Amino acid sequence: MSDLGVVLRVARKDLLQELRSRATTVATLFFSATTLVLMAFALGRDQSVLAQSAPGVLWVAIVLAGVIAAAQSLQADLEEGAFDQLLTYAVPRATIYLGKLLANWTYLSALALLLAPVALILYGASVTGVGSYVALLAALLLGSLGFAVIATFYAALTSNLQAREALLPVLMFPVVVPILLAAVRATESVVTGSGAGAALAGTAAQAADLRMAGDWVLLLAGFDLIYLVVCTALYHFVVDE
Amino acid sequence: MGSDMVLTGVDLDVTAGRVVVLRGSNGAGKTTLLKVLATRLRPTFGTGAVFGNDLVTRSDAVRARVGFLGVYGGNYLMLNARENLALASGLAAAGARDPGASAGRDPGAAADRPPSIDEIIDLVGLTGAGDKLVRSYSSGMKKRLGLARMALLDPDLWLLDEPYAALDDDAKALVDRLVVAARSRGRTVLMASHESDRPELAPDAVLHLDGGRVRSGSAAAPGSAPAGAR
Repeated sequence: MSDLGVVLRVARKDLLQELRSRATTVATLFFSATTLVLMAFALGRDQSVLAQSAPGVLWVAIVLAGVIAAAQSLQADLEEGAFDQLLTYAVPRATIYLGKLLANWTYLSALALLLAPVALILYGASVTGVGSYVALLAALLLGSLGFAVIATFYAALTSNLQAREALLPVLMFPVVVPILLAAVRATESVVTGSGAGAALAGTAAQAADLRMAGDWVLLLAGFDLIYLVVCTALYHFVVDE
Repeated sequence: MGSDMVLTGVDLDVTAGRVVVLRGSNGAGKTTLLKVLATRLRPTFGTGAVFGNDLVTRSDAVRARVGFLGVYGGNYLMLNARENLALASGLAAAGARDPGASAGRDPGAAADRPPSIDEIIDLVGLTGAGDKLVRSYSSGMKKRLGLARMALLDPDLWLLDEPYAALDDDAKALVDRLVVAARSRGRTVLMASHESDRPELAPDAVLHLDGGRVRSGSAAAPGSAPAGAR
């Protein structure tokens, strides 16, 4: 079995467990839905304010739900000494990390793709044109990837700490800020009513917003790549005691 | 281990193909020693080798030949027995394919047809429970599943941490049979156990660990290949 086979086995194991327990799914869906609704009430009735806030609120909901998912992601492994057992196999630590990352990314991406249309409808915002949809999709997938890269790494880093659930967001948030900034900006650029060109009419303004979204998506991809390389290379220091 | 020294001055040389029982009071360092040999804990001082592979610098090669059964069984609760065993088998096979990691592996290990997952499940007495989630298992059934994993992977060095804990008499006899069969295939077994009356097991040596040191007993034969930690 190749290294890719190990990655897929570990990811399948994690996803299968989540599909059966639904512990993370129930908690994150409830939490993110509550966040979206409460923020909509807090921002008032001004339609333009609501539409402009949609990208930021969407990512707040994704990130807060993502922290819950990250904390839960290693919980099943820590029960019954299963993670210790996993680390006794002679497979590269990086493949274990990438497997768990793939599972976390799949879960977070699905969550982001589910929340995005809900946020757009709830906040009265919209996306126009195929290019904008592609940019939004790229922002959601790459933003989720960056968050999952860091969350998977820090979940392992804090796994042996008594107050791991409290420390995880404290340690993780400063590192995840560049990812979030780029993801919010990319999303903002393609959501009508919130981008820089929203006040201007016409395709020229839309094209400018799309170019800006493209730039932010490229920056996001760059951050993802850097974090992915660093976390993959350092994972064995984190899990080997 | 942090600021506490759990093992100090352990000098242990286990001959390949022997069954060695490690005794000692709670906190004596038995589990720590097994975890060091399984490469789950890195020794702060000193050196150790398993089948000539250094525990720190060639840890992948050590892992390719060692199997570890922890006191909790090491199973995934939301997978069933077949899925747990298939995962273990797949990951162990991936480790064994690395020629560097598996260098020196007993060629006899692959000579016979390896047992299937169904056969192993029957062997450990989990017939009919193979498709049930491990979450629904009793403590003894979880331990049986852990033993099934060891029998399926059949590593060159079996490291067993309290394998008799939570088991009924039949299951304890099963542990004896599996260990004796492993020895007959040339495997080395090092187990930490409080069970004192296991005549069927007939261990080659019984060592006592006290205060982080091996106080008595010997498991070495002159001129034998080392397979332990020093």
